Amino acid sequence: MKILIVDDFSTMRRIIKNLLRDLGFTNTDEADDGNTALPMLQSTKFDFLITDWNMPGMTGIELLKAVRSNDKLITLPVLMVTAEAKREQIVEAAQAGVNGYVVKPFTAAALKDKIDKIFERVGS
Amino acid sequence: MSANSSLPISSNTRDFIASLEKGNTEAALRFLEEIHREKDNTLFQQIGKMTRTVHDTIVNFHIESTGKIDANSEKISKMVDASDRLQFVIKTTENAANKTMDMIEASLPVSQSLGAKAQELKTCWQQFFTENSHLEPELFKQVDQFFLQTTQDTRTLEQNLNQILMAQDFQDITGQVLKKVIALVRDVEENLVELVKIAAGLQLVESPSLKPSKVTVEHDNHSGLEGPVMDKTRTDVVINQDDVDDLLSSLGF
Repeated sequence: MKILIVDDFSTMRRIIKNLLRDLGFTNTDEADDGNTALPMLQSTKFDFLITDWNMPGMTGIELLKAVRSNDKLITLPVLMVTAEAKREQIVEAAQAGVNGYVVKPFTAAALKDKIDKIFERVGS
Repeated sequence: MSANSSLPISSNTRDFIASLEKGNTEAALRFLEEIHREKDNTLFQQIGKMTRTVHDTIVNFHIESTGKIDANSEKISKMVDASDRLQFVIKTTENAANKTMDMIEASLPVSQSLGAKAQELKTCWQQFFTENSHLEPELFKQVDQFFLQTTQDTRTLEQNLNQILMAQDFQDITGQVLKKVIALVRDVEENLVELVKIAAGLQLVESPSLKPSKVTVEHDNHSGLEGPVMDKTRTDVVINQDDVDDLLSSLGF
């Protein structure tokens, strides 16, 4: 299970990376925005994408749309972890095909819960 | 308003009245135009002065010194720009968060191996006692209890360390807010400079045609993104993860 973590704040990438390790996911990689993440997703096989929304360069929602419009990446599970809390934004992400949405600040339990749910759904 | 700038207005007004009285409408209109222009110029001189004051305040923004001299206060005193200071806050909190996480990452394995070792020794200890039950049963109980307690305590320790780790997300949340404020300060500053230029230009140009629409706030390309929301009374935002989950489930998630 290889997971890509995309966030422009290194602190947040590190927190998520540690939480994932605690949940047993040790194979992770990092990118600081969509422009860096997209080539990584295209060249390496990732099983899961966790992305922030508000980032310089390519935002998380743009990355999500790019992933969903790419034949090779179309089924990649995407979890959005972001401080963006407007209802219309959550609806937009849902319409763009996000698999889960976690608002910051979040708890380790919330992250675990969403990841578990996504894998349940993907597995079924 | 200086005494000089008020003089032409009254002289123009006098001329305007005199022209009207003589029935010279053309001249009267010319003087009327002159009166308007003087008024505009005075107004913009005032705006110009105020603008310059606000601009200087932003540029020369100083954080009140607490009187404590250290390496940081020297660094701070070298920063004259408000945006630099906010950037400094982001950097400092990031460094602190990283140091904390360094320590957590170094401490977690220590606790984990301690817990694992205690559990392993507990098994050996019980094995040993089964074979030597005639020896010191009280001591056996104490050591056995110690191994059990150590295993439980290291688990608590690891949970606490993970809580400390999660708490470092303040750096991301506050950093996003500070970045917004930095962008705002830059916007305000740029537009103030623009205003100063317009105000200065007015005094030189003979027939100023004002285009206030020129002064627009430049937004970054992510202006629709708000980041953390401070106003808890807003209804267009979710307030917690339960809200998000409810919204998503209403959409069929």
